[in-house]
Amino acid sequence: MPNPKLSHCHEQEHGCTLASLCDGDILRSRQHLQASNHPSLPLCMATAGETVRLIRISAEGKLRKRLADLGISIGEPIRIMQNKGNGPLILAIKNDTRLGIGRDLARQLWVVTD
Amino acid sequence: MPMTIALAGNPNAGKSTIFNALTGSQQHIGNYPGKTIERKEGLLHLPNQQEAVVVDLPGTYSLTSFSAEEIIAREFILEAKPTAVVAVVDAANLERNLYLVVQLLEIGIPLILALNMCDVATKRGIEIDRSSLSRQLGNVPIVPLVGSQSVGIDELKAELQQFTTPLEGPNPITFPPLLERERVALSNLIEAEAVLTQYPSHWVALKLLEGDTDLSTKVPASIQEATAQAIQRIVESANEDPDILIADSRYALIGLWIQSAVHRHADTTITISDRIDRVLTHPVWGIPLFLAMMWLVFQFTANVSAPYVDWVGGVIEGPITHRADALLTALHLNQLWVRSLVVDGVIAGVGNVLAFVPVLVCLFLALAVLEDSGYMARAALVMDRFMRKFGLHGKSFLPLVVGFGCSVPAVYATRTLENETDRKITAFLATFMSCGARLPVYVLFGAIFFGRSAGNFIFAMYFTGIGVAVLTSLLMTRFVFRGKEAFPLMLELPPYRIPRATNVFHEIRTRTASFLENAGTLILAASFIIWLFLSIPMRPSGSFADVEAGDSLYGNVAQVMAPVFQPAGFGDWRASGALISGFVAKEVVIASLGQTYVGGEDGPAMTESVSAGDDLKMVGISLGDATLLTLQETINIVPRSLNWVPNVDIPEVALVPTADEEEDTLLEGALADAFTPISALAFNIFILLYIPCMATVGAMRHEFGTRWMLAQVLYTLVIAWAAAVLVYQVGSLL
Amino acid sequence: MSSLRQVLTLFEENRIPLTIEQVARNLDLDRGMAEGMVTFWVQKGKLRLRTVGCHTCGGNSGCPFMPKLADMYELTRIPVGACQNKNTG
Repeated sequence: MPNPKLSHCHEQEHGCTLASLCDGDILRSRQHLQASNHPSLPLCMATAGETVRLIRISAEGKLRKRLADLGISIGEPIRIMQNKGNGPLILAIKNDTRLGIGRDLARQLWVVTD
Repeated sequence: MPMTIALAGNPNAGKSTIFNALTGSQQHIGNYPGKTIERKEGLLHLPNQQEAVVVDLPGTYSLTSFSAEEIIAREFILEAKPTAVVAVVDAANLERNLYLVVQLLEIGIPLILALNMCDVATKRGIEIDRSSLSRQLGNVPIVPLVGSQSVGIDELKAELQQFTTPLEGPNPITFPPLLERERVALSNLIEAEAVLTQYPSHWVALKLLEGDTDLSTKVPASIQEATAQAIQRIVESANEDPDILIADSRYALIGLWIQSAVHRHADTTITISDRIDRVLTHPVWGIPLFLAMMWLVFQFTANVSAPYVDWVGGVIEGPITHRADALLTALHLNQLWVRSLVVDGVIAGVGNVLAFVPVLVCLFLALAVLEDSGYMARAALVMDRFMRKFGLHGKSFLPLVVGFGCSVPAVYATRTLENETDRKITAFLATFMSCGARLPVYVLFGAIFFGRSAGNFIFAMYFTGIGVAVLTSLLMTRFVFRGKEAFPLMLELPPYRIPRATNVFHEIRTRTASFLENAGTLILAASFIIWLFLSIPMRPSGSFADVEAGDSLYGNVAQVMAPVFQPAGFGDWRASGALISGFVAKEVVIASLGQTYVGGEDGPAMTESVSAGDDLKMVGISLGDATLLTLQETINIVPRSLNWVPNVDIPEVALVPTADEEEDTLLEGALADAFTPISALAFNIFILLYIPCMATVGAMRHEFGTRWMLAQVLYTLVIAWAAAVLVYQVGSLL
Repeated sequence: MSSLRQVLTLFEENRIPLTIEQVARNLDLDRGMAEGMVTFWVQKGKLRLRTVGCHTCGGNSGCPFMPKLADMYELTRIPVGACQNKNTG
């Protein structure tokens, strides 16, 4: 049963604690999130070296289309190559392509670890 | 007769390393007759003392007649009929490499597959079932290799030794029935007419259907006719050109082979690119590294090009002016106004701009290296976070970087932004990014007033532009466009690579050519108009082309403007005149400074007559000096930068006697008298910030309408004036 | 539809310049294969390497100053890009 407070957070990522969760201590925030039996986490909380699977994009249509153009779509495996501090994330997707994305975008991509 | 072995393969498949490993030092390098393509041949000693000639064919992706390399490769294979062809393929990039292999199999020649770079493939989790692949290729022997470490070379030699006759088997290459039917018919016709008998007829038929331009000129009209009919029949029934069908069945075949013989582990390995990214896109170090990189670019541009700028300037002022004079005299065209037009107008105007070609070549070189290495995309990623703080986002960074080159494409480049408000702001800011045309002005003033710290001066100018852009952005997002939301950044990061000389050279060439075209058209026209305005007397005492510049139409207009710039320290009418003409294009500023500060006076060119031989000698000697000086300056970038740190004093290299007695060009001398360092700084700041050129204003109007354009013109004028006055007044107090 | 055709259709449908990587991902092809197919269409004159620039500054050699990020290809027939159909400057 997902934590109701977090599900709320899940739906509207702006102006909620999630942003601070993301930028702070990734490991602790993650433990917190997983302790609440939350099945998924925002991409910005995944650690480098991990391979995750995209399950939800909480963003509007145009952004989804752009993401799909670059090769990020639901169900795709994503490997995190770099995720440090407040910097951008570097992802490896299909065909060994590297993508750089901003941290705010990573907050809107919800993934599960395999 | 010794065996002949041909090495075929894609460029970068590692053919050369294998060739070297096979032949050792016994190589002969020449050219193919009438071609600039290198022909490499060497001798190979097989384990059983037998000798074989190895020919390294040009690297190709295909065997069409698209390039000279492809024609050479296929003609060698078909005409020299080597005992065996070794197809060198990159195991880590098998799909692409197999396309050539399919075409080698189509010819039906004895083939060995050298599976190179197996180590890389393994590292990337690519597992190749060699026996399965071999079976599917029609029992072609496959030898795994790591050419760079000479692994597998002995096995390849052994394979070549026992390779006597090709193994017979069904040709594994098949085409759709429709194509196959036409191919057999055409092939029979070719055989019946005994055309191109040295080539296999089934291959000629295939190539003709593919529309091969080289072969179709070599067959008689009857075959050409039959080919055209066959192609038409295929197009009619398949609704597709045969060359597409043929290429497609090749790809389909490769797909099948890969599917059954190659297994990929999903694990992504950490590449060298990833390791470099850990440093260059680091959240803390990324931005300082980017700034350091840009600083280096400007140091390089300023220091390295400066001696050449002086050289080109000297050549234009001396030898070229002398020769033009001599030519005019010889043609009896030495009337005053003709000489004035040619020497004061064209040579002073265009010549002074051309002198800065070395600067731009250096800038283009630096930018091309950054682009080709793959760093530019990282720069956008790193800057994203920084830009967001000022209400912009990472993608705005791209048009802004474009702006360092030229504002016009920067305005159009904003089209990559999704949001109209972002576009408007970004285009507005892009013009504060100091463009390539403004650089020559900084270089000129930097050399006169800041000497060795010219590089830092230039860097500071660029930084001022960025600072004003940041402030403007803050103002706009605070007051004009409130509550806008930024679109997040996402970009593809191509792997880093060592910049390829051909690419870099190509970039420099096209960009420089474009600049020269500009100098030959726009700047020439502007120089002519400025000359004309300078020649029209506004006092009855003067006559056309024989008037003090200050009394000319140009001088009169400029004098009206001049008082406005008095508080900024450059109330000289010649300076304000240059600013007016700079609206055409900022390079023109130098052209008009040249015409007003130098063109009016009689240079030494008139008085002394110098022989052509002396001129030529001077050109040569000064070029040598410039090269030495450049070398010295390049080396000194390092100690000079480190000497900034207190208590560090690294001696600088001195290859050329200290430049105390270094001769200034005429323009440099005149400007040194007319400006003080502070007024020069204020003048450059004004140049940096005021109205972008005509072309940019046009682009702004075209993209965002007249109102936005006018707003920008007004804003830039006000801010440029305010900044110049501020710098001059504060600077004078200090 | 054949894969080669699919490559061209992808460009026609999207009407924007694409990188080799994008072609490969969209059609689920290997990168090298996609590169070969794009090259095929380039040789056939249907696609070209995108030359950025607006041709306002100097001739048809492309813009002298525009930096490139990744090689992009576009259709030769329907020119699209940052600033193609402009020439007003």
